[in-house]
Amino acid sequence: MNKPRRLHPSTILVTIIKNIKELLYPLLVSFGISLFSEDMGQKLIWVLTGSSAVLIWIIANSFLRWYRQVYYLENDEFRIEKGAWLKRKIYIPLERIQSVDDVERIWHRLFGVVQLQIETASSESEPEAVLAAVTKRDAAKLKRALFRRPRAGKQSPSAGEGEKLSIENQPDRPRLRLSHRRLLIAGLTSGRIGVMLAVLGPLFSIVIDLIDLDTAFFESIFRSAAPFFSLGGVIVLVLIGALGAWLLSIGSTVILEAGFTVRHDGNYLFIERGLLERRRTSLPLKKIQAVHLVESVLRQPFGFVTIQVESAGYGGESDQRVVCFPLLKRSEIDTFLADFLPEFAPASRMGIRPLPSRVRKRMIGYSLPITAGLAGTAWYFSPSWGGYAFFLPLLDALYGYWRFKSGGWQVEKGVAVFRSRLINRRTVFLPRRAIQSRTLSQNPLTRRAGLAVFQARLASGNQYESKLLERTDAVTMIRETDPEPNRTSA
Amino acid sequence: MQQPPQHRIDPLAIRVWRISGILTTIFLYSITGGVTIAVHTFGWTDWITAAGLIIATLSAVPLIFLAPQLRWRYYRYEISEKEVYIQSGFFSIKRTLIPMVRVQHVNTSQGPVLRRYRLAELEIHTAGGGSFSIPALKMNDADELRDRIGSWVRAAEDE
Repeated sequence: MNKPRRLHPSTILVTIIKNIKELLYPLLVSFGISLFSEDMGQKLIWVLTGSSAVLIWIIANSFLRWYRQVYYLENDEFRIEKGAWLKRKIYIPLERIQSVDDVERIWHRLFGVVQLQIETASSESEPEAVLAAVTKRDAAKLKRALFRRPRAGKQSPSAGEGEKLSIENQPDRPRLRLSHRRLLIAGLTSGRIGVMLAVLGPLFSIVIDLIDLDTAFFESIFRSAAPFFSLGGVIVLVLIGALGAWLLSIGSTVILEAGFTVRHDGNYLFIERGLLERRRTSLPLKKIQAVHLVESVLRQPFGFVTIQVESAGYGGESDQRVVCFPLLKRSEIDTFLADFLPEFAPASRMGIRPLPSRVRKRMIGYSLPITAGLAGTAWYFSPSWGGYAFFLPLLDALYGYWRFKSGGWQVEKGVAVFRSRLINRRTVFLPRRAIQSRTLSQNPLTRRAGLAVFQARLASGNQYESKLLERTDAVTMIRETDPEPNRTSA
Repeated sequence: MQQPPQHRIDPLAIRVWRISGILTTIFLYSITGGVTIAVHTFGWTDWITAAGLIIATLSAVPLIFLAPQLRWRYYRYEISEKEVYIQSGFFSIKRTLIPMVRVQHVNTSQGPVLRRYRLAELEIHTAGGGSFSIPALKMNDADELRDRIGSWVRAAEDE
């Protein structure tokens, strides 16, 4: 791996196709314009010569880009040199690497190659380094080289106590694969249905736009289909749409999560998923910033939980989190954590402590003045139906109570745990090695009640806070998450 | 966490904040002025001008007369070999601990108003874009503190 290497030559072809695809729209438009103009022949000739010149440029450029891009390892750094005309050099120190992903799209499978993405802790949404296509053998070799332990004394500050975590030479390395049954359940409860409706919605509006275009023609269709547009018909249509969206959401879950496998080998967590597009993520355990247990409203009643891990560098993904396992029974969590994320297992085994009972009335009453005010206004302006608006503060109070019941906290072995709910119930585990700053927040009202909020900021850039806790408990949490508990503090 | 941090920031901070409050108010009034001209030219309703005036006047009182004193009263800091301890805010009061091992870099900065009073702001940065500030220190103190934190950070990382 120390000798500079090029990407797989299939990169050239793919770059060409990608570039042409980007140009297709403007090209089609100019074709269209020339077809409708008067001196059509001459315009067409211009467009054709123009586009063939562009084509030659694209081919030459793609070849040059492939030719000039090399990668190699030197001096405990991963280096990429690239750029067809301007040379860019990217040097990534090995200890700064947060994770390595490889993605296998359909065209990758044709050539037996994978795409490698190397992420560091920077907040940029794009991966620091992308190798568009390398053979699987090279990818495996490169990964081994990237994950070789950096030389001693060159530790990054965030590594800290991470060393203690390594369970080297563990004989039976844990591995868990999502069963087909679970995959189906995950699809049924995925909640992607909303997304699918959002996709289908514009489709409907396009259809309606088309109808507007040729009203006369469609009016006749409408008239013949008029009986269908009764209330019952509309309901049936909506149901069919919803069912279709649901099936689509199941399908997309299957495509994304099929064959979901998580592996652990002492220092790294390997996550693999996808039916058409295989994606493998390798995360150093000591760079994991937080673990989330997400219980969506659709899954919580059946006792199912999704586990996510947060790692600095996944700026492009949702809030730097990746799914670590899509569907687990609540009762399986402790074992799962013990196998795959042992650092977080003790805190999980301790269970969640409820919020102090005096917080209940605060969480219920917090937004009541606003919703009650709204309802009052509605009633004032329209006494006839405005009365129904008083369901709003009622719902608001119930929602506040629900959130209070769902909230909780725990701290154990340097891991702080916050549980809360907006819609889904989310339990966040924060290890002290990832916490950058700890804040105790109080306002005059909570100070009098002896309550406080604990806020923790992570190296991933995300900030998490507890619900209102007993001040003494919040202070305990802050003390327990001290990175150097032996030194005296303020 | 039981005791607030020991040191207060320089009392001149009140004056600095008051000046920036006055500048903000002037800015709000000039926007209102611009809007008023637009209202007259295009014949919009006078409500917009009235709303602008009310907002500018109402925000002037806390910005100039209340917030500076209160902020100064509660802003405190304490720096030890182990960590930086800052208290900030005036309604919601926050006490923040930033361990030396987590500090990425420290810098001082100085706008025109701070320079006028020979003050400087000390900023402490952590990984993940966290930034914490001690907003008004005597220039020499700020520089000295910055260098001291720098050496403590290096010491903490070497351990």
